Amino acid sequence: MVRFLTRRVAFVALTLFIVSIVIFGVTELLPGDVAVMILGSEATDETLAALRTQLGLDRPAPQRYADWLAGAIHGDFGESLRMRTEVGPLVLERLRNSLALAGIAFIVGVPLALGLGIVAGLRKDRLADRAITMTTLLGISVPEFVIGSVLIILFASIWPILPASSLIDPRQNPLENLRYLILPAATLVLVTLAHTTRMTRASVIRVMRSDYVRTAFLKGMPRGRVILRHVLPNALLPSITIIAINLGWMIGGLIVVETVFGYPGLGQLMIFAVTNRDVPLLQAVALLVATIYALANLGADVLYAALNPRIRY
Amino acid sequence: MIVDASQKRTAPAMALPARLAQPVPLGRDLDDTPRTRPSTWRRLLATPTATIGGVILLAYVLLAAFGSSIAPYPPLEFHYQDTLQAPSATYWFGTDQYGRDVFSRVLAGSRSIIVIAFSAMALGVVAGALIGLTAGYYGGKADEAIMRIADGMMSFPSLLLALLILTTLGPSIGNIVIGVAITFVPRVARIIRSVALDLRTQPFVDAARARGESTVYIVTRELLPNAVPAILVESSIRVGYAILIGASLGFLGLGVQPPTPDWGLMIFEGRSMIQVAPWLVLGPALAISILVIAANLFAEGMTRVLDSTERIEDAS
Repeated sequence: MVRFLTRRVAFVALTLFIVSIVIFGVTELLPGDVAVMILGSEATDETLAALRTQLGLDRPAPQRYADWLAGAIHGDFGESLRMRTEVGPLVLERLRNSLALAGIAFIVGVPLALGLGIVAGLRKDRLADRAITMTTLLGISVPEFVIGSVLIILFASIWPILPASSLIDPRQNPLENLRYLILPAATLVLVTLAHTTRMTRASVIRVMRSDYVRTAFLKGMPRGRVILRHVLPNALLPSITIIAINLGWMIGGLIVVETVFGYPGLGQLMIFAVTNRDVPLLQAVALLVATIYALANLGADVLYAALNPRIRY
Repeated sequence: MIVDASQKRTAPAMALPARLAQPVPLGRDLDDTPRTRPSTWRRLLATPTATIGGVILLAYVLLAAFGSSIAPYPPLEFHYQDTLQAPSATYWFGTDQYGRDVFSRVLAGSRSIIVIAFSAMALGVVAGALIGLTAGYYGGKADEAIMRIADGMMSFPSLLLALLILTTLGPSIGNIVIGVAITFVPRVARIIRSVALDLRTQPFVDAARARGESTVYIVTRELLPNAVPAILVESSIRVGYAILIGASLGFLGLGVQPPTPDWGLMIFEGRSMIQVAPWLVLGPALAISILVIAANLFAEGMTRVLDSTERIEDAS
């Protein structure tokens, strides 16, 4: 187990190293001059050169990368080019808001998805399965911003019980104003629900076809017991991996959903960084998101190995 | 590698990997009697979901080509007397704040998304398949290095990577195509590599190597034709993802710039008036939802017909 853990952690460290190179490379080495972006195209050559020196852009790229990475490891991501504040605290504040939103969606969505997936898988090709399969097909097909907009029309215009946008003070604790979180969280649930449900269904069907389940039925075990003792433990194990993959969708979904609802989270901050070409801010957000995603995958792998008696290290 | 002459003679150049060569039962037809395998076309047409999805997809492609010429009004024409009209017989999907006809704009807006979806799919699948085949064929250190880079790229959610690329390249349709295609490359490469790993142990590859064929020849003439079913399945799956990511990027303001009609952008612009004029959002929302559902139905059908292995959907 210790060897397995060491190898997995080393692998995550290697992945994050590659990720940091990709982020730095994509944002810094491709065409587009940061100094020109800040000062505009009318700037004189001297002021441009002065700004480049001030930002350290005149130094070779590998050296800048090393400095950036060293700073990032210590939590120092430099200063935002547009907001003129330290990137670190700003990003942490928005991260808290996004985590509140994603957390609610996760707590509601995961049990719901597993439940629906199990029902659909056990009642394959029956009415319940067809209904769930068709609904989840809608869920994976309809983009987040469409689902969000339709929810706004339904629950803020036609039946006005919830606010149409979630423009709250970024510094405020979002959990104090749960009303503003309901629609964005519901959108996230609907988007991620579909994938998890479909994969849980496939997993249940695969296990139901297995020899050991057939044996259990043939030896006269009651159906409920077979499902509880044999089907669910084996079918739900892969769901741990699925839920970790879900985080990836949720991160993508957060970027869009926060824009739909004007919710001040990490995704909205990232779009701000993108539209304003705020490179230090963008690098910090991207690295943070990739790190969370990698750690979630690591956690899922370790949990999977710990719970699966067939894997012993 | 030593290959005896008899093996070389009998090795079929077009042998399918075992799991793809197995006949797929048609629907619930569990008849075990041997029969000639129906052509892929026949089997696709016998799958209702694939047929429905394919027909709708085709309709959208035609719409992309001719949509602006069959539109009732020019998509950029202002009608100042008719601003923010609800849907009616004159304006089927209503009008926006400048009195532009939403229905005409939805028709004309099909072009950007169809162009983005199919170009990004083609670019991503071709590049990913070539990389995957080469990595799988070589194996060893080259394979290891390529797959580690692919893992690194895949540790970004697709939308995030596409956003990073577009930030640097600037917003435009061409750059969306490049950005989306790049997010596809590692995902396609990983799947096609596993096909290549199966294929490289087949006798016909040994035979080609024994004949002294070049690597380029083996990859393009021996491996590629046998990977075609897997590549087709991958292409059909990627179209749906490309539409979703492309439209999301348009919604986030990184695609087509106003006033050109684009569904994602129209929904973003309509968002601020959603409580006054919900039709501004509903028109393009309906158009894009039907398109993605059709693409997913078609992909499901393709997967069922061409690929008997169960694949785990990856994060996108």
